[in-house]
Amino acid sequence: MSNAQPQWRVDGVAKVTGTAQFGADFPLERLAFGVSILSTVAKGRIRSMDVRDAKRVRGVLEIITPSNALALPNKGVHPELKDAPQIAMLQDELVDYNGKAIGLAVADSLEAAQYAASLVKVEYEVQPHLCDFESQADLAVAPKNGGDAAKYDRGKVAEQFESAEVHLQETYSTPVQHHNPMEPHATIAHWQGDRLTLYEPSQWIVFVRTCISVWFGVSEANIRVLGPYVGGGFGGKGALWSHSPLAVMAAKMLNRPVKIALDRRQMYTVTASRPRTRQKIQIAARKSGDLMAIQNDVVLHASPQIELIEDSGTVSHYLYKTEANSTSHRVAVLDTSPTWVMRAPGEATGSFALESAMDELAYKLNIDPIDLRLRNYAETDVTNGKPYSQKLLRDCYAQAAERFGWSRRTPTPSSMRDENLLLGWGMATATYPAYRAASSAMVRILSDGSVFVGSATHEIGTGTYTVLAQIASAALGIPIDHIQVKTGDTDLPPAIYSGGSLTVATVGSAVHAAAGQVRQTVIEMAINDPASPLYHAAPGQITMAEGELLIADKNARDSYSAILRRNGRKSVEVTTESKPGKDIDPYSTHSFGAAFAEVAVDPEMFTVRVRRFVGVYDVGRLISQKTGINQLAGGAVWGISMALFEEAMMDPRYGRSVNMDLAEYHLPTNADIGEMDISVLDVPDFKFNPLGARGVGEMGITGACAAVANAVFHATGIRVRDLPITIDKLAGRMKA
Amino acid sequence: MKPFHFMRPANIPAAMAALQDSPNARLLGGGTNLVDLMRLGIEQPNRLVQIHALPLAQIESMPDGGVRIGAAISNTEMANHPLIRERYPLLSKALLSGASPQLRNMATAGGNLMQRTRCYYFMDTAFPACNKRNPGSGCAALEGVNRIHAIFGASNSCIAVHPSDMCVALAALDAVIQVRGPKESRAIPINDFHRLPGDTPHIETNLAPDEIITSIDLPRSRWARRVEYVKLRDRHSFAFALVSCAAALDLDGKIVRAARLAFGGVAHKPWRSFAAEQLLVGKPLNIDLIERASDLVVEGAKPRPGNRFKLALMKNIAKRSLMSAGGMA
Repeated sequence: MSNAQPQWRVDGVAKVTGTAQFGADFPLERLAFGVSILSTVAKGRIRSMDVRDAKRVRGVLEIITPSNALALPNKGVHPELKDAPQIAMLQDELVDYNGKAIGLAVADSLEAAQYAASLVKVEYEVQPHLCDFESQADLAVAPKNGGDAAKYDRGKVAEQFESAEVHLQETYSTPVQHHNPMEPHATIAHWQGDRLTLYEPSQWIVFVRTCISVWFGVSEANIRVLGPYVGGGFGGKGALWSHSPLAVMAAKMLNRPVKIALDRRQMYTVTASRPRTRQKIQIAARKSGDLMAIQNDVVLHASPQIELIEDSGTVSHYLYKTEANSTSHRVAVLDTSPTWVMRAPGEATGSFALESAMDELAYKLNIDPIDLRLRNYAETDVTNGKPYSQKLLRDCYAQAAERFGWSRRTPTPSSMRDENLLLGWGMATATYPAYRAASSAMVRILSDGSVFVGSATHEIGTGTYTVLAQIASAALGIPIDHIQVKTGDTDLPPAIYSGGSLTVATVGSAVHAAAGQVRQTVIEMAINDPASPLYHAAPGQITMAEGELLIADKNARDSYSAILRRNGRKSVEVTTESKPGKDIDPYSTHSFGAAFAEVAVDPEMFTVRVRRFVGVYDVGRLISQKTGINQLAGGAVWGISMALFEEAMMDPRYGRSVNMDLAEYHLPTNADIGEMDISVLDVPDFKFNPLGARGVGEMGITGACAAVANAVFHATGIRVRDLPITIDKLAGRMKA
Repeated sequence: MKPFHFMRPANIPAAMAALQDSPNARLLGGGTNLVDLMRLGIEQPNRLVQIHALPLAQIESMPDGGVRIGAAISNTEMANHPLIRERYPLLSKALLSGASPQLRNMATAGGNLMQRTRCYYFMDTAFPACNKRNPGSGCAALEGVNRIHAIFGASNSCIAVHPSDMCVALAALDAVIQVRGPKESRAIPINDFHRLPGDTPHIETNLAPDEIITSIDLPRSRWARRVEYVKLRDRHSFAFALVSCAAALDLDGKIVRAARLAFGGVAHKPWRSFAAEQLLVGKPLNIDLIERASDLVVEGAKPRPGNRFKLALMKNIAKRSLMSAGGMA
């Protein structure tokens, strides 16, 4: 597969011209609009909901509350759906957090539904709530479904700490962050008799179908879920939230299609967040810089809806070579909205803490931060002794350092300046596991030479359409503009969630396999066809290009369409499942990278600006240059954002964050992101999968965050261990 | 949002009549603040009176050498108008540091004067205590998350801050707000236009409900050329000021003849530091004088636990703005 000509997004024109249909974009006859009514207390019971004024609003169709909601099988409680948070479906009067859906106003216009929702008067029987992480953190308990997350031990940590020459112990904390995809969550439910069509921008449409099937007692065969375009997910669209079953319920009750689109503020409580974490890291080392042991004891918060463990400690299990390693995670259950996976769950928060601690250790030992990492380079996976399918982290460090100009760094804090600005140069290691799972895809070639590729995977903005088209194009030798890709439809062959950065490795492998089988079938037809120039050729001699099968040195060629037509075939179609085989068992599969950041700190204004970022990553082969680099750059922007900007600020008195909008929950603007230099080694990892490609979606956020935090220390001599690093935290500690 | 009547009067008497016979009417400029607040259920007018058809969209030179800015002028137009760029670069710079290009294209001069104050708790009706939204209900910010809140002129009823950049520049330029009421027209100096919260934080300006802002008048000014506007915020664009500062100096050689120092993000209104201004006047401008003036700007501040950091910020930003305005940076 050639990367010589970077491929533009095949869906780019549809997106910029507005013809791409996102979740809320399906106009249906008699469409009604639902607006959620949300609780304004954190804990208690609903005593009464007065809907009289709401019902008088012109255009209102129904106000659904727990007292008139459709009764669902087992009140919507199904622990067997273990990947689904327990969400509100109006089956009881319980309020277990502030901002929970407790009702739905449905009207024939959005405006009427919004106004009606605002007029519902709710009386609560209020109970005391616990929403203060600081006060609950020390009371945190082991996770119910703990496993390694509860307690992990390798080697004898205590002994290592006793004999350590250098001991570092610091606590790092990260705030609640929200997914904030550009496209708000939105659902349209449309019943036609006992058949349901659900328009749902989702990262896992197959599981959406399962959940709705179980919750509503409807056969999966009667449910079709469509989500052809998803405007960003970041994990937040990997589960169903209240508005989805409420749309299904309202559509059933009113016998007409119902759309619920959350507004930005509702997304902060109806959907979910990354939990707060507090990580106590201890490192035992020798004066030489050799690590002996790493321990990370993590406290995170969870909601009553689901116990989701952001396993921040896990990254320290394998990132460096140590004699011993110990981690624990404990959970403080707070009366808040659900916590959930968010881009690089565990690695994002864990690598911030570990890579900050490594920087602190480097200063303590007076060793260059890269040298410290190289000295403790893990050639193999220290957790299980397995070799990596491919690990080229040394090359990443070297190339990134060279591109960044690291050799010109003077390590003393505040020693580098640009006029009156303090410059800081920091670096960190990036890491994310390489996952591959089972998924299916269908490839169909038609007698006109065009190709259809289908899989119930998702285009979540990452470039799925483009990369699947590229893979099919390469496997068939058919130009990409002859290839149509369809995703986001449960009628297509089933695929796993789009999460864990596994889509290319997983669904891409399925497309690669299906396309290969289609190609073989057509080759068989040609070599058995006396009318073909390829008649009786050896299949191994035949190559493909520009829609033709050919034996180049004999100048014998035949096109797919000619072969199909001569054989009286309208199409050749293969659906196949692809999954990792036993051949991967001897290996550990991870991606690694090196992240370098330059910040400029104004010593009087306490502002931090990221002027340059350099990231070099080993992700195996990068199949799609444009969308792949775009993913890694977007991840790095997330890391910068995590370091400097993002924080939902909880007021524990109310159990409610005070900045639930994009004016006060700060994401970076273009002005906040300096020059981005992102590159990959692009060395195929064929032990991992036939494409040689590992995922790129999440790794960018790791490394970037700590690199910025370390750069801020280098600039200022101030170590801010509590993210984000904002003006107030520096102002309190900097001498102007 | 609550249903409302929408009117587009063609002249000022018609607009005034529309305001008078509807007690809960609001004038609508670009809607960049008011419409947001209506969507959030915070503002619930029963009538919107749009000002776009009114003859208020001119910027003109005044006989005294000043400039009159019509109330319906957009922030973009104002910031880029040759008369403003040439005579009042401070105003241009302050405007361009605010919001985003899209918002500046919509927002009007009059609307900018009338934008509501900034407070997390005011912006979310799910918080029960807010004396602005619900007079008498209390102030959730006092003991809450208050890193953005006021350190001057606040009360136990309210610690919200004025969010405008434009108004900070206007305060340094001694702007005068021309308003027309049913009986008379009057001129309100910018410093008297916005109110401190006191016990009535829900009343933010001294404009009567049936008065219409017709223009912002900028008098000819000797200190409008040596100026600087510095804005500090949580990100580098599209954010409200944590602290901003407008500095303007009139120098006779090295001697300060007049000085203006106004701050955004520290009070319920643009905050003039009169003591620092007075200290500067009549003395030769040098670093020592600027530092003494900068130390003075925080005198009398009453920070909350979450916003004590604004003191250091305010001093440093005053120093930087004065150094730059005085040509010393």
